[in-house]
Amino acid sequence: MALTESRRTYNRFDPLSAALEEVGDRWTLIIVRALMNGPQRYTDLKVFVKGSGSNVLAERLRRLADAGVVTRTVGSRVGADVTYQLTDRGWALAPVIETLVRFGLRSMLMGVPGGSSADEPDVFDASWALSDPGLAKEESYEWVVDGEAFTLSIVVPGLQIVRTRGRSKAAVVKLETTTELLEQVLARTASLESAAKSGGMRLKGSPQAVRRMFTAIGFPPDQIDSLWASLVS
Amino acid sequence: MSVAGEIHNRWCPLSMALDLLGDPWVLLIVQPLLRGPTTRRALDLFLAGSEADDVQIRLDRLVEAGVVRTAASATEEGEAIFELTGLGMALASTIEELSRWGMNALYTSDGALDPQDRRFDQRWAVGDGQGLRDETYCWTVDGHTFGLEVKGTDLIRTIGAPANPIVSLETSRDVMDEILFGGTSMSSAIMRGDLVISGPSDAIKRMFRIVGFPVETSGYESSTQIRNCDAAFRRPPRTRS
Repeated sequence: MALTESRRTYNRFDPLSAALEEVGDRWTLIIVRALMNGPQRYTDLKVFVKGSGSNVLAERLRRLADAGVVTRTVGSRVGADVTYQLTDRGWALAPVIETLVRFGLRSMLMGVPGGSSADEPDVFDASWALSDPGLAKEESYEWVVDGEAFTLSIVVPGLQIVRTRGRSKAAVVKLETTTELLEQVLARTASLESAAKSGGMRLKGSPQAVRRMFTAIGFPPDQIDSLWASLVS
Repeated sequence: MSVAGEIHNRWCPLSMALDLLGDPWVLLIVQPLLRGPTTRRALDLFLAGSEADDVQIRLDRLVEAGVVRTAASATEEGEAIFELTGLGMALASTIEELSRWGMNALYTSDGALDPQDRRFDQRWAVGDGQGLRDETYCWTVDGHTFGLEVKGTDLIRTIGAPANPIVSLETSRDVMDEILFGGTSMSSAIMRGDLVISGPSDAIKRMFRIVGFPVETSGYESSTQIRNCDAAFRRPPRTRS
């Protein structure tokens, strides 16, 4: 989409517009998020912007450096790689990213939005998220949120997640909960473990399958670990 | 197993959010809707400088994504009214955090990094600009001094202290942050001495209107913060003992 690639200048004396001019495009915050794992080389960062145009990464990094969001460090050895890291100004974007992650998870897990293509499956590339593809299994999970059912199926070659409307007979895990509780878990005001224990999140399936499901979906590992501990104890 | 269907970039919440929100204008469409349901005409006023088609495409996407919906009732003239869904209201925190981060660029580091004058189009905040005057304000935030010069509905930020400002304002970014997002009223900041403003009260009103502060862009006359600020100025000066 050409219109998302160009830099947008709003020229409004307004903090929101000013922020969007610097970090509001499709890729910039994804690069910032990647740098929150620590300093990265250019080649390490490429995987995070897979699917973008060829010069997007270089161009965004230059802009972020100009804006004082990232700095470049050249290694002291001859031929050492240039690495990129966040400045304090870059780290100050953490709360922004946190709210976006919560919004993204909400739109992925809470009710499938209506629209013309509502009954077509949505296919997601999940390969980048799992460090060990061996953790994934070709299986389906059924979610019912506020009474609305959808099924998440894992496709192992290529690691995709396919979301379809409706229930699944073959699901190895069935989960039933409310938007409200899911929101609390995403906002970390409730843990996965407490949500399951209180009965507000009903889980049916083996502990192993439950763990694979939350891992594939991308829930925080510490939350999954404590849930796992309570399921197997 | 192969599947037909819409291929999204990846199963990543941040990517999912940015697929929708990383497009130009999208969050600027959501921002005025946070204050309540509104018509397309009112939205267009706020989005001055955008192309009608740009807005329509983004609005359609926001509706499809379940962020915005058309309200059950229209205006008396039959104009559709748009409002945020629960999912849309969840963007309040995103907009607040982005604005908080963006203040830095407006008031401090950008001014320090970028020694150029910069011209801003403030129609989003002042509409046709009725009641404004071409005049200059002097702001000092965290020790950085800059001028804000009004030219019609434009605002020009100049570096350094401007000549003949009608209003002077001095504060810190943290105090600005508290006033905009932390619930501290302007008057209490003034009382504490954290916000120092001098100038005629009608000029101060015009200044806050054109800078779009505090975030309200319409009905500023009824904004309690402006009223309180005005009241704070009308108070007789405290006599020092």
